[in-house]
Amino acid sequence: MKVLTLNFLTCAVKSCKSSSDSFPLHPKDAELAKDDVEINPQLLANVLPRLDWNALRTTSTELGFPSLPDQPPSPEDLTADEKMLQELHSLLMETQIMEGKLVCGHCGHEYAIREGIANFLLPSHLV
Amino acid sequence: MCKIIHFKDLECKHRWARVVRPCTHGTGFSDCPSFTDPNYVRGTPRAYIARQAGSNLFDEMELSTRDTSHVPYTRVYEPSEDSFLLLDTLSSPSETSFLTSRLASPASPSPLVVEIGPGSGVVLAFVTAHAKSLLGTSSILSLGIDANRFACAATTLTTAKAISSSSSSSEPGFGFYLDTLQGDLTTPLRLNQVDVLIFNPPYVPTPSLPSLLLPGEKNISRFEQDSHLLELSYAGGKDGMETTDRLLSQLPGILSPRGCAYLLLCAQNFPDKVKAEIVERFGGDDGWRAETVGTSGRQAGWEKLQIVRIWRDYV
Repeated sequence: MKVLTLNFLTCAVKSCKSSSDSFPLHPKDAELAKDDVEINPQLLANVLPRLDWNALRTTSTELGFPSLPDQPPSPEDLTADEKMLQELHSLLMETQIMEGKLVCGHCGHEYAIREGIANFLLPSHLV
Repeated sequence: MCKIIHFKDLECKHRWARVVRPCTHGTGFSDCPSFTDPNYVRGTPRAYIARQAGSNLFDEMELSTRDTSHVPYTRVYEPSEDSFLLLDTLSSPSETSFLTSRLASPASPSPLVVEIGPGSGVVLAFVTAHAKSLLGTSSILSLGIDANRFACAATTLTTAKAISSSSSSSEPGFGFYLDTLQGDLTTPLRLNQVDVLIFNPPYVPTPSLPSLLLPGEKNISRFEQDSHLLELSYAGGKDGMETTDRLLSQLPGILSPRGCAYLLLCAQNFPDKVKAEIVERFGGDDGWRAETVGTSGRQAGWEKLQIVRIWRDYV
């Protein structure tokens, strides 16, 4: 599962949706892999404005990446700073969580990731 | 030229390629001009399928001559008339112009396209691979959610193949595929993020709905497991609407302000009643609309299958 995907996910438990603690989900025991994906500066510039930047900063730190700046870079920043462009591309588009868990900060439920596929089906007592 | 898919082993980093569609019967690396002719330039691979040692998920998906030939149809719904109606509708001039006008203004953030229950992945793969011509922008993100784990793996592979096949054109028009998660409808998603939602539901009226989780313990037979997965893909309960009704109740909270949904219905679902109820429940005064934008299988004056577009007019 890609790091970028995590920015769109919350806990699947209905009563957690209204809690800010259910987003972002926290990786645990994550085994990472890196894909080779051709860099696309235009895509990155269009994706950044729709991300929750604070959540991405949390995820990045929790996965052991260098901390991101306080504010998302503007398209101009990206054009000027190739290193930043490359790092964001690598984190968002290339980094995959292959094995591990995603933990809800509100209810504590753990979603397993196996072979790169996260399982959000809930056991019947949580539905 | 032979079509190939690139793989990379996650542990030893070994990379390899397989011919997934020979250009003529029997051709391959040793004799196809696209590999043997030194003047032939092949582009760098767009994507690799990451593969783990010991993973058996993809092993059952023998790659051969068709783009979905890797899909195990004993346990994943095979594309049929309904899937093709979705493809036809999404590529019709009226829908491409509708979607382009809503999603593709120059400075607009990347649209998120989500398919619920992608199955073999043909629809999500098609939209991702042809994002520029269908949605007016290639800066899209696509995501699938399916209760069937085998469908999740199949969709990832089908999408990689479709992107790989589309990359021969000069200007890349494909979007960025995120993942397919195992989950129940839209429950894993953050609120109000989806710009295009596609759902080909289990729409066949049945006496009851199968449970999302596999029945019983791990000792059930492979045949029982497969039957359960296939039943999940078509059994719709009362009027074939029980799963669709659950999705519809999630829809206003899931779509973005510019979002829209494409929902497949069959005649037994009472589509006119469904459309009227959507407008009434979501609020026609708040701009909610539901209209039929594609049909197939005309039988005795009524449409067997149809695609309903659900959206909110900007107020």
